[in-house]
Amino acid sequence: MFTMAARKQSEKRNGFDAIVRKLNSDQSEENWESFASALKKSGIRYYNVVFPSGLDGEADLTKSHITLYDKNYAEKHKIPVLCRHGKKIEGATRYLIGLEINRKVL
Amino acid sequence: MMEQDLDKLEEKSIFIIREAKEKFGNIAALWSMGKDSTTMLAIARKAFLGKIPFPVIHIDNGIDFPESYKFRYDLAKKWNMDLIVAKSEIKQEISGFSCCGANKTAALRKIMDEYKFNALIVSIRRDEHGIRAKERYFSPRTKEFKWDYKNQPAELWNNYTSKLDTKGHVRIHPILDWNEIDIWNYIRENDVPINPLYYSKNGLRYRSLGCTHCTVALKSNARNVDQIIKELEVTETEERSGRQQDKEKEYVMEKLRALGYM
Repeated sequence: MFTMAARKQSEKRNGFDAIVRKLNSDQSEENWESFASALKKSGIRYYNVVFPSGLDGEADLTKSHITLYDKNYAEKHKIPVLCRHGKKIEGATRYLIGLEINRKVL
Repeated sequence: MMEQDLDKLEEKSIFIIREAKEKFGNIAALWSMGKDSTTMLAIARKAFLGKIPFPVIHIDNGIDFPESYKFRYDLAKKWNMDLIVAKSEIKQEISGFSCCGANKTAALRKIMDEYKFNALIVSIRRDEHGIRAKERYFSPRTKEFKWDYKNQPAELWNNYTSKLDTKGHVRIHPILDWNEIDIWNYIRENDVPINPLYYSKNGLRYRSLGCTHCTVALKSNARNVDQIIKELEVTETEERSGRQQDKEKEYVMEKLRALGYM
């Protein structure tokens, strides 16, 4: 039997999952802004930027991703590192500002 | 925060950079993609008619912000930099100072030995930290990177150390007397490109930039340069209060810097 609180939690998670899915398919500024707004109540606490070995060129950034963790350091989501404005790309960690880096992972 | 005469500051910095190039020849500049070192490079371009006539070194520990890496790629290309990326290894046990100090210094030493640079332009400012307040415009280092902070050359009436008595190198600090607000005023007046991480998002921004592991955001709603300057005019928070490495005790930091740590 589910409590109201548990149901609300589940809805919140599903809502955030949908936002993450949308972001992974399209790294527009709009989707990043939705992500940033939803982040506070998502339960996500830590993040880590994962670069491929040998970050030597701009192309390597497109192969990188960010891993999101909850307060227990459980891995929750993987999201892109970049924000796209048409053909232009920018780093997007500013949308995660307020989260802490996961120091348990290098 | 007190503003200074930007023209005078710029004039002195240009003099320092040109003097360094003339006297030492084989020089390089450190660049962290932060506002200070980017401003220094903008000044260098003014000093040398739009060019940066020496290599620019980024000590890369592999955990900088993606925005910083993108900024590096874009600006190095735009300003036609001779960019050297010095890879530094991260040890598993990280503390704020150990990482930036030991690991980055080791990577820098390797590059200095490889390229035989005899002078290094570094963009520190006296107002950032008590230890840095002890620095000189031209600050000698031994071959072991050691800094004799108790026995520094006097710099009176614009006379600077331009001879190398040891087999070490000289650190050149062209923006030593600039304040944080001077840097931002210069950025605004000269349209200097800036890492977007300095601007506020969700009520937070990075006032001083390091890597992802040692940089913490501070409360701010400043979303552009004008707002940052307005904020700085009334702030009572220290610039580097969001940097983990500066949490170390001052005495310890002084000792470690004397041993060559950055």
